[in-house]
Amino acid sequence: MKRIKKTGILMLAIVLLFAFSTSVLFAKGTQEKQKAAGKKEAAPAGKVVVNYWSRNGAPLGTVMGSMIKKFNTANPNIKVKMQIMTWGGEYYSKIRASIMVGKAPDIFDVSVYAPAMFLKYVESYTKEDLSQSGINISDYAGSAWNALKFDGKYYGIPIGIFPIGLYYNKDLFQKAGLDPAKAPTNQSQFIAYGKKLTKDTNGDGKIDQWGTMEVNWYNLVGWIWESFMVQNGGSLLNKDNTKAAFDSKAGIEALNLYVDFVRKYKISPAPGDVPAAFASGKVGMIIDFVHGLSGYKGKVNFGIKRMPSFYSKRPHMSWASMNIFLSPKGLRKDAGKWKATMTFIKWIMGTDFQKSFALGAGEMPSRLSAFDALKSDPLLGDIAETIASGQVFFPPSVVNATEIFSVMGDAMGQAFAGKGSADKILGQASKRVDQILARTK
Amino acid sequence: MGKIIKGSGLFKKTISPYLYLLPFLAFYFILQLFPLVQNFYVSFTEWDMMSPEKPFVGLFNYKTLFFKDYLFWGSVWATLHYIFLNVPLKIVIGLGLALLLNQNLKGKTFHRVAIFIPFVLNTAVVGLLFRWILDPQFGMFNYYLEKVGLGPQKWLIEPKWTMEIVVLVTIWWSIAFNAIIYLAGLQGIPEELYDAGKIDGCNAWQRFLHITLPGLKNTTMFVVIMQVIGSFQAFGNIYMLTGGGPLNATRVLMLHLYEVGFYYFRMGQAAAISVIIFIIVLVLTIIMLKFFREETE
Amino acid sequence: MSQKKWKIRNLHKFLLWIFITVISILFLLPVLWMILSSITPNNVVILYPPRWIPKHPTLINYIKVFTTTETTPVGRALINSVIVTFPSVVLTLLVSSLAAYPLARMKFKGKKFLLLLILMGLMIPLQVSFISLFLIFNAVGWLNTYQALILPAVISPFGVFLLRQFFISIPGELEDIAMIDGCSRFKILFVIILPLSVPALSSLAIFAFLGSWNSFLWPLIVMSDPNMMTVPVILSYYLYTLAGLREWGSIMAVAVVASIPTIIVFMAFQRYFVQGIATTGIKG
Repeated sequence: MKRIKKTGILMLAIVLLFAFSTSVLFAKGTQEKQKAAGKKEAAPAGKVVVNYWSRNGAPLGTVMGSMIKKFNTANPNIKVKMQIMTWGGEYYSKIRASIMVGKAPDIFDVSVYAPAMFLKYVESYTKEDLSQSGINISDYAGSAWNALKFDGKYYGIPIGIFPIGLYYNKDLFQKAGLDPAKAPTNQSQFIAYGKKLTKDTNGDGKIDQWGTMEVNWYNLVGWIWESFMVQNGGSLLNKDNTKAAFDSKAGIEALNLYVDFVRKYKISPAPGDVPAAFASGKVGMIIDFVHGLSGYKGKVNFGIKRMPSFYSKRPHMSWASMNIFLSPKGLRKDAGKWKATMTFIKWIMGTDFQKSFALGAGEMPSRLSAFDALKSDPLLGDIAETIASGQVFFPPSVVNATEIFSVMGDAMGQAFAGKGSADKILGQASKRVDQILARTK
Repeated sequence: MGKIIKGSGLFKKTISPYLYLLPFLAFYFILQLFPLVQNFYVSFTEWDMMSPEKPFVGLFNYKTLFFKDYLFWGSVWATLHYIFLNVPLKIVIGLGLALLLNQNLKGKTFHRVAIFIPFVLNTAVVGLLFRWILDPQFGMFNYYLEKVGLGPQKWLIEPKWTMEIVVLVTIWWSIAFNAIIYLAGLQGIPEELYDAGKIDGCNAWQRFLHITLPGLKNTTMFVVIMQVIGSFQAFGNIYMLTGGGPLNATRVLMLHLYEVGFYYFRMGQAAAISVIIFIIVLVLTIIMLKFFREETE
Repeated sequence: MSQKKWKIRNLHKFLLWIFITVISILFLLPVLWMILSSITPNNVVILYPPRWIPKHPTLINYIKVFTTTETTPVGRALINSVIVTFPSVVLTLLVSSLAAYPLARMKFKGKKFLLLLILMGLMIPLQVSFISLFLIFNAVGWLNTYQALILPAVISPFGVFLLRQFFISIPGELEDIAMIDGCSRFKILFVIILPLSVPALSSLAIFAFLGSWNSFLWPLIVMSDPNMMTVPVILSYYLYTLAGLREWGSIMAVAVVASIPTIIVFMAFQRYFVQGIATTGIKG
């Protein structure tokens, strides 16, 4: 009898399992229900909760977090709940999964190339929408909004800009007999400075201090080369983003210059861990994102200036990314949430926030009025002027941007490894990019 | 039918194996086989992981992989490269370490713990720790290499030797898996067999050949199958160490799958890669099972 | 035994000892580097040439890791990881033993097929099945719950296969005697087979523990509430900070914190899987 009882218990467990499994298989209609449930839980005690997911860790995310606290105290009926998610590709998986099941946060931030991927799934804003919330596009760096414009509407809010700039080590400059107040401003200066900074400091016959250094294999996506190319009058894709355009004289020259830092001028070692190299004073000048600066504070005596004009057609142009807010489609239908979200966005886009966020975290504002305060900042001043004067450009926002970045990264790697001439490498890459672009139509 | 109802003993015998298996199988069907089937379906569709519809595209994803994806065949090659290095090395070294650990040597707990500790580390930590140690300019490894006059090497920058380094780091990190399984297998071989072998005048090598190896047959079958399957699935260690680079030298199929699926969000194509991996591994496993069965008979 | 033979054997053993000790030390070096880095200030740790022992060891990295609770609640994550891991391990052992037993010891129809079916589970790239799993757990409303982390961990084709291989190698005589004494199959499994399988069970326990403790991608996808994050998710936060410069000291401190529980569990279990067979009395 014992055995029958045992069998019975087991069977019962199994029945439960099958109930569970069938509920899964026949639960197609639950998505809508879940959406409704999601709304219900979002409004405790008369407060409107705005859920915000961020991909930014320290310093951007942490500085943002502490500023949001101020917003929440100033707006007692709104609670912005910020949640920092891991940096890296996994963040986008999480966003997509949450959109798939209708549980996306009310706001999530993405990078500059991402909006094109989310067009069908996020809210768009007309000029009227924005001006109703007190945002006038003319108050901002125009290029920022233009990058988000698809079919006459704006997909996303450009809350800040991350340009790349030139970091230089003032102490190493001084030791090399260079003026620590002045960074190189053109190609020949950059190379001359690089040569002075490249030396053997301990006299063992091996060079242990370098003029500059390229980011390593993993991050090699071609931003620096792209900046050279744009300065030289080229561009990554054609005007309507349907074909590769980098396989041009401008692109090839730019790639040759980039590789020549290592090969011809010998001012750069093999690609490596650039931030660690700069922080430990082994490299005199690096080109990197401006918001990385807080990591170097207290470790090296450094300055940041705008990208030198490696070519003169479009001087100082530098690649930039953006921090963009997106909201899932349908948020507009929930009037309370929409209003709270727009209030939050208005605050983020205001001069006060934009200015103090730049000073706190190193992200450049998109609001023009915030630049005036930054221009006198010893570290950020020159970069602020670059943006205010429109010397930044953004990568094209196309559906398969990440895949195109990979192709470009491979091309950069091939060039540095000496696997063919610049025109051959770029020609091959351009065919691959064309294939990717053709597939997404 | 009649028989089953008549003798309750027979009923038990017929049904009870399935009862033991049921708790596992029930969840297994829902949580693993169902995703497998769904995945198979997704491989014939185009899906960006967000859209509610998945438009059916037939063999498009497979055709793209075979004829238009310039990275696919390279990643097949990288996978084979990884497997041919990884599987034999890990089996031989794993068995060797287990044999050493099984000797009654002084401080055996220390040895066991030392060899096992890397295995408990998170993959991400392993990957980044070694990236740092192997950094061409500032890494500790090159520092000592230079001291002994072997000069700075461009580890993980040049495609040459990168796969070998990945495999070495993987061995450091996960050899404990094989060692521990072999160790448990060695403990399972009755001591009397060795005593009998000694009485018969067998030397250590003969005892190893005629007692240890046959005694480890089941263990070896397990290790080989797990190792081959595991090598096809290798992901975290390579992802964190090289990200598939330099120049795609270490882009194994799983890495390609992950990038296609979770960076480019072409889930259909990622699913197609997973189906391809699945079929290759399934065929290999059936062959291995057959091989081991014949060996035993 | 003659004096000479004894000497040779001892020399032989000594050489083996040297060999394994050198290997052990080589295995430990990177771990030692990790621990030493974690007590070195962030700006000293990147200096070149590398220094093994910090001049001014500090706990600042640990303090930082445990006090920045807003973005990375390490304490909470440790608790979550424990809550998730222990049921996962216990259930994995139970469910896998139950399933492995008939596969090893009974004759029934479809056994070969079932074995292959279970092995098939090992061949599915987990990364893609996470999407389906996510949909399943969403459908039953279990996103952001502990069971969403526990259940997938419990289904371990690896565990079933491992235990089956060990059950097969246990001699059948003991079982036959028990059978004659009137023991049920169920009792045989728990009283005879499992105690004899302590080495395999310990191994499985360790693997299940590590699998559950170190799993990263699935918790990241299924958990949205910061209070439900597990240790690897916190770890990844430190790895992927946006600013270019990695704070190696802090990263290594988190890594040490994340590894300590796994090291403790391993130390506790490694004794069992070595003594396992010896204590069961089956050996001479």
